[in-house]
Amino acid sequence: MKVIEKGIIRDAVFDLCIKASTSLSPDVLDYYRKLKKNNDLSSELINLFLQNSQEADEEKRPVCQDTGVVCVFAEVGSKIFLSETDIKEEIDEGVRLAKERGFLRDSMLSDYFSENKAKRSSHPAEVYTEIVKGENISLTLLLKGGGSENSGRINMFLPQAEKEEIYDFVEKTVSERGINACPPLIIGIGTGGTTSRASFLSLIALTRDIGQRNRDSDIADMETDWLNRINALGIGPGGFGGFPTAIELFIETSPRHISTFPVSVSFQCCAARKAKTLI
Amino acid sequence: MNRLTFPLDDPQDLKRLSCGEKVLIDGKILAMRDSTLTLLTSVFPAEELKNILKPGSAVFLSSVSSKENITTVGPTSTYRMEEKLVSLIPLGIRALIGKGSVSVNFLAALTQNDCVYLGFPGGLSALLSKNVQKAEILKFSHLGSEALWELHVSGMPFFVFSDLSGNYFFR
Repeated sequence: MKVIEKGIIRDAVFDLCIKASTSLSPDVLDYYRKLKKNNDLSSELINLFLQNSQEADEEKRPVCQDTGVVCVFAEVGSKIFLSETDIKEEIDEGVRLAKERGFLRDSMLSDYFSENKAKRSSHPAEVYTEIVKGENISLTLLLKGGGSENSGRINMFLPQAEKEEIYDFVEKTVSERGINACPPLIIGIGTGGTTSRASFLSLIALTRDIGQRNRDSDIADMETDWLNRINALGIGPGGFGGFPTAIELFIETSPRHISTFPVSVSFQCCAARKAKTLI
Repeated sequence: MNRLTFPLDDPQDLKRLSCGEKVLIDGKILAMRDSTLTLLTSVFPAEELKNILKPGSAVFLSSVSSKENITTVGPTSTYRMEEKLVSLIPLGIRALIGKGSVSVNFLAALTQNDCVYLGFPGGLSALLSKNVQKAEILKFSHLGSEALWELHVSGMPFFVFSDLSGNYFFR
């Protein structure tokens, strides 16, 4: 049994918010650094993304003004004893403190239908908690901006749908909405039993590190193939044309009902911000 | 590289801008976005809106967060606000600054009103915000980062997404 005292999760989330807000994710930085640079607009923009992240990190200011919906994926070990700790409250408090210090924007409205009267803050975070074996808490934080979120889509396919039909849906979504999702994109695809499961999987797919393929080799091959085909669209960084349109494409599947086939597409933008920690 | 100061003294200066090229912006520009536009267009009649916008103005579709001398701005997606902007543009806006693609009808409205569309890719706030010298709220402080802000900017870089001849970058 490991006891987690009050305040530990709050402080961890506060640190994760600062880390995620003020720098691109290390795997994404590494990808941008290794890209072959030419004397064209795509390369100029990739260099700007790198320079922007460096300035943000050095000056402790946000990489992007839209610090998004703060999504937190918490895996809590079964040997953890939380005592007086309320995970949701602590995460929100960590997010609130990060906003107080100027690292997050007041992007969240308390009231759906009255923007004028609504309270504005950076919280509540969207928290997804899962109990797993072990004696640690793993926290993964994703900052999910509005532009990429508005470009996502979900579709119900007939159960006999072929892979190519699914790909066509993904490509159409990228072609029609990709520019406004701030490319180069990370594309998350989720299939589910229910629409909720499919959309959750398309979101959690975005927490994978660049190059981390699906454990199923057939799905892994699909990821590589679809990523190459999306890049052949040539939408390019900022929608300015060229390469890359997407830096990754991740597919997460779950068993489905015999009569349904929901597929969800979520995007992460060029300002791909995520941070992880283990308590 | 072209460099323009807003509000523009002479709107003819916009003729120098060609689609796809870079331009640097100086002077005072207005920052607004979704909720600001909803309130502006519902609270004020056209005559008062003209006074707020001033002739030759630049409108930056951006939130503004200001904390401990660090101001953060950055373009947001223009397409979301097309409907409300169509009524505002004829009241004095000569440069609309945002992000991403817009509809054919909206492009036509820009060209008819001699307004250029400037923009920058998203995700580059740290660089762009360094060109903000001062930020102050003009109206609707309760909207926080969505309030109507005036920004004093120096050498803020943008790309020309559509010029006065109607040439369009994302076509």
